[in-house]
Amino acid sequence: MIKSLKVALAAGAVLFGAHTALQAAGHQVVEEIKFLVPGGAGGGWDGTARGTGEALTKAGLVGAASYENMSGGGGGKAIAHIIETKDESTLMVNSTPIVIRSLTGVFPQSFRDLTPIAGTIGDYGAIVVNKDSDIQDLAGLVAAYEADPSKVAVGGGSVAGGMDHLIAALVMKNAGADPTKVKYIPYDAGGKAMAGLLSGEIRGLATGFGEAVALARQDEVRILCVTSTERNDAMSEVPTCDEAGSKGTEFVNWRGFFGAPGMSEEKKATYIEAFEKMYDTPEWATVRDRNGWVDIYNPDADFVKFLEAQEEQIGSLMKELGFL
Amino acid sequence: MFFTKDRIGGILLLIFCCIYALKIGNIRLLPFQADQAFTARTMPEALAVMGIILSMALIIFPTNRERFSIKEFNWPLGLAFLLLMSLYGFTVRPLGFLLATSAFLIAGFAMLGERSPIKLVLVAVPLVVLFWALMNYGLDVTVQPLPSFLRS
Amino acid sequence: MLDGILIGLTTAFSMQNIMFVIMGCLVGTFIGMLPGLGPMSAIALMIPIAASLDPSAGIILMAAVYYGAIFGGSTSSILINAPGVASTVATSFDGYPMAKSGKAGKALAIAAYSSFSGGVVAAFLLILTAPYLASVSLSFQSTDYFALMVLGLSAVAAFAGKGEVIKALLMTVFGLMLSTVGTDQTIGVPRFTLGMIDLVDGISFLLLVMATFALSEALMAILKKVDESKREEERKAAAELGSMAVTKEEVKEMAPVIGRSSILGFIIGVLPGAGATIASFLAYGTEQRIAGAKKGKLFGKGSVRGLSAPETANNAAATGSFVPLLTLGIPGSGTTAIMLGALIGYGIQPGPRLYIDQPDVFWSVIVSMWLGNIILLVLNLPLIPYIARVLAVPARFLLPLILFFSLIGVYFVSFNTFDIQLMVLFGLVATILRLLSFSLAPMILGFILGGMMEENLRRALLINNDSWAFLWERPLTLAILIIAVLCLFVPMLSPVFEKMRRKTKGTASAD
Repeated sequence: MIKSLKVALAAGAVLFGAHTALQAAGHQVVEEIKFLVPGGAGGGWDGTARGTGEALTKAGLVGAASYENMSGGGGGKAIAHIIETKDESTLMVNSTPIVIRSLTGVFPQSFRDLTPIAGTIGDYGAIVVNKDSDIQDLAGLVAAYEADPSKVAVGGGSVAGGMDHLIAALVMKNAGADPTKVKYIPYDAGGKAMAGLLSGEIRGLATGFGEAVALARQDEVRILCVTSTERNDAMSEVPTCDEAGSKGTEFVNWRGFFGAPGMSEEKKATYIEAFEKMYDTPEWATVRDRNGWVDIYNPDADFVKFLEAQEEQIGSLMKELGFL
Repeated sequence: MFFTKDRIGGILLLIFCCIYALKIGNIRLLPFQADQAFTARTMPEALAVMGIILSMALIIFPTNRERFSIKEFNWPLGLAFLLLMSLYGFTVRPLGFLLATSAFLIAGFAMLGERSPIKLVLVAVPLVVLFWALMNYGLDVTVQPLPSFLRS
Repeated sequence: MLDGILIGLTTAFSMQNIMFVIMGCLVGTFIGMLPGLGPMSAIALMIPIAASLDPSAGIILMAAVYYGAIFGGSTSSILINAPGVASTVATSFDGYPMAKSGKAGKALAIAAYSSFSGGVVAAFLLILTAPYLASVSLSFQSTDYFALMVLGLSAVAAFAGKGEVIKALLMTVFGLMLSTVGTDQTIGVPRFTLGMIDLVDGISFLLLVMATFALSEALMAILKKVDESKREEERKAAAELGSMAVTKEEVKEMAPVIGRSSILGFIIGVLPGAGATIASFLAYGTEQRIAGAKKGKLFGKGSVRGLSAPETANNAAATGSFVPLLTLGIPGSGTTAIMLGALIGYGIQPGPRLYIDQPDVFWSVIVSMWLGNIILLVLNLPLIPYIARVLAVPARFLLPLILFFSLIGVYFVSFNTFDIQLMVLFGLVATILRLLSFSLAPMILGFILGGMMEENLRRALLINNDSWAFLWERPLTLAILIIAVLCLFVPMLSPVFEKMRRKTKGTASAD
């Protein structure tokens, strides 16, 4: 009964706007973070910023967190804003599309115009087929593809030239097949692409590993490989794409944070310290598990190096496919 | 009797369709798309053709012979409100939510005939503050309440 | 199955859970009434609270908030012509005229009864057919979805008055054109952005619908120099005369409409990606056709049937969308996607095995649907007179407030001030079109369905290697397309049929 009363109070707080600042133990690293979300309320970026902010403040690592949404231009509006204001207490959330969109010219800026702080979470890509499919492993898919590419439609939850298309093309390329012939079928969301796979209109699917694992556990789909370098604990029987014959394939769909350009080294160090400490807190574990996120921590110089490598990887692939 | 409601509307939409058709050329076609049956331009092209045919049909065969009279409407007031809304769009960020919105509402009430200054303020300000508090604390929708020079 | 229902009932009827349902319905109704915040935001807001509960209670809370928010959305759609979400657009067609003619209470009551019945009937259908339907919905491919969108567009024929077909079609094309603005969803190139970064993401549905319905409604009132005192009287009448009692004749009229629309809504809702919006438009169009010449004319002017049909159908579809979620783990709509996230957060993976592995969860979802609908009806009916009071606010205060709520409803989602300017532009365009007696409903329909139609068609063509043969080779696609063509042309030909029928009758009686 006490539990339900507590919840009732929480719901009441939502309704009546009573807000109580939570004082938690632990020493504060950063006084205040203003999160800038390049999309509207309720999207993936919004959830990442609010979840991270919640964990940081509840764990006492950050004194106060506020959130400002600014959608428009596929994230370009917010990038222009943070460059213009140069506010050191603002952190912008972003993800793999910042690399893709600056390559295709949706916005003129790139991550180089910002101060990359850290990649915090991410997901690997996966190649999936229907459980009733005659294709048993990646080699089977590649064989069918090489026999007749027009008969192997591969779907994904992004536009052509978007992330899922790139994953499919990358896997094929590294397996020795022609990536430009991939018959990619775009869907507007991963869930709908999954429905397409189950309806039999596409034979394969490139998608996030997390989403694929959920359905594989229900025995609806078979995961052919995952784009990480090591097998994943969530489903260790799934081979990496490298093991399955697509040599050297690695792709991470990351989410992380950027600061304004010209940020001082000291300030940057405090943010990195806060993120680093966050991973060991129970508050972060709660938020992470609630959202099904995977820790992929990649701070500071490593993050810059990683971004450069990803830009190179995506850029050359997109050129090869004819998108640039 | 040429300018019936249908004809005026038809002409306006015809102009829109023509501009739309002219802009189709700006859609970038990727090289490997050239031989595809359905490109990013196909649907706009079909729509432009349909739109032009339909709007011409409407101009030539209008069914509604009603004429449009401009006089019975209060145009200055309508335009003033459009301007007021536009102005609100330009001020809500620099002036902050509370100030910009209060000003918008007070001006709007006054333009529609509310004369008592006390009433104007008493209706607008508490409502704006309450709404902001509800959004900010209750629903976690954050919006800058204050003008930039008053922020910490 | 019976013991399953019993498990669900015993779970749902604990003191704690009933309290959650009540609280959820109230909070949901309130959030749904706020412009721009629909069922999706309402549920998203509940996730942190629900996460601290046990799964059954959390799901019950979310279901209650969901139904509450849908009802709240209908309320703003009926009272001030501001449908906050796509699925309540059709509700405003007859709900708003009814409220304007002084029957606000009745309109809200009809909406409440209809969505209640739709929800309850659909939940019942869900139990009976879930496993079977899951496999059917699974076989729907892009070609079939394309046909379904065409069927949805054919509802335009229903909106068109006598001799207004060309205008309705032209407005549909206009809406389709607007849907092409922004980044192309297949290949990712920008279209019609005029070089503006703010148009890259396209025009949001909420923006367009708020500008064309709520903004232009308020602007029309401002443009028409109506004597303030007369207006005041009108509004007072609207607020006070609004009796909530639904007469026997009206019940008789509603009953078959509700029956048909619940089934239609449920079936459409089961298909992932189709959802409540198409269901509500299709139900509206279908009822107008069935109603016959005399009753059909009342549609758009405050018809009981015209209000009841979309309200029933959208709630039934909302329930139907739980079929692919619970049985396949595939979210068919934004709302169910959030629900899926929450379920996974509990460590529950919806899918074919949910029914067997965790029957308590499965059944408590179903029972909570019934419970949510019942509590909603019981709670909201007494509140209707107070909600309807909105209309009693003097026009000089109400109109600027409507403008403010529509602007802020859009701004608080995107936080892009460009959207406000775009709304002003569309508000102006919509007002001019209304002054010229152009109906805006076909435009909205074209805008909503346009994007999905193009996407599915292009996907189908890609899969079939640019061959159009699927249009006649795939039986399901062909069947839906034939229905769509019939829908479009039968109303045009119906005068001819009518004449023929009369003739044959005349000769028959002469014999």
